[in-house]
Amino acid sequence: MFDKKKLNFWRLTVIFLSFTVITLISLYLSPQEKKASMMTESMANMASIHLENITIYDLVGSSDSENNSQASGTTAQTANTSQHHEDKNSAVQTMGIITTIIIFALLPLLICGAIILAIVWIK
Amino acid sequence: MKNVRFDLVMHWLYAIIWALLAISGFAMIGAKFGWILNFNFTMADTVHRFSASAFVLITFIAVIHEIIRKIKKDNRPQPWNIIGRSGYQLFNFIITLLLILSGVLIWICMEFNEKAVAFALLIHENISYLSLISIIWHIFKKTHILIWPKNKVKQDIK
Repeated sequence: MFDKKKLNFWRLTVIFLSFTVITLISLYLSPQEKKASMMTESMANMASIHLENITIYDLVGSSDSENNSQASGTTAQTANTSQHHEDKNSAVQTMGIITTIIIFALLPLLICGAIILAIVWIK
Repeated sequence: MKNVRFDLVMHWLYAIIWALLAISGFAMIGAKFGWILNFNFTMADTVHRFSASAFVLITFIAVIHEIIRKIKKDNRPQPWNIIGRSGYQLFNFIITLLLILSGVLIWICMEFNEKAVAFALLIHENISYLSLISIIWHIFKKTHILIWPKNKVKQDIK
């Protein structure tokens, strides 16, 4: 039988499905050119430098050996990504600096905290 | 305000930030999910970076909170806590750390080592799928909590 306690889950499912269908319909009805151009922007380039036939040696190897690897074709795309980040306006740059500082300042502390918790929890 | 539970607030802050990260992150994977944000990869990138810092911050606060609880020997159960020593809380903690570490690797290596970026992207993307599946399961299992406690409210009013 249908569990009434799970009714809210199915309501949420219907809401999210509705949002998905509405988004897909609105995209289907809108022009295509703008979206195609956006594929060359920002992190979109990263989608094409996904891991393919790479070894651990390649990951730890020096950048000199990059030209010989199968991923060498991605250098130009990464350069485009870097160029995009340089072109961002100052507000976005400031936000980028702040978020980078937050992440890199907290990361060592977070790792230390996780190690402490692991020791305490195992005891 | 005095009765607002710390773990409850943390849980929902984490949920909101996780949702922002998921929407912007999946939208950046490429054409297959780009439609989520109308293929606006620039906006997705900005939202993802901003939300990522909030994600690290809130995880750090949760870890510090848990350490303080241990120092004070406070063993009261906190069912809304985002991290814990067992069950879904532990699973979520491990997944969160893996997502943060792989995300940081992408961030660091973006400029000079695209192979490391590719490796980190693979890890980051697949863990994100695992996280999404687990979140849906988590919502399904805990959905009864979303039922508003009418009887309790009536008692409180009386």
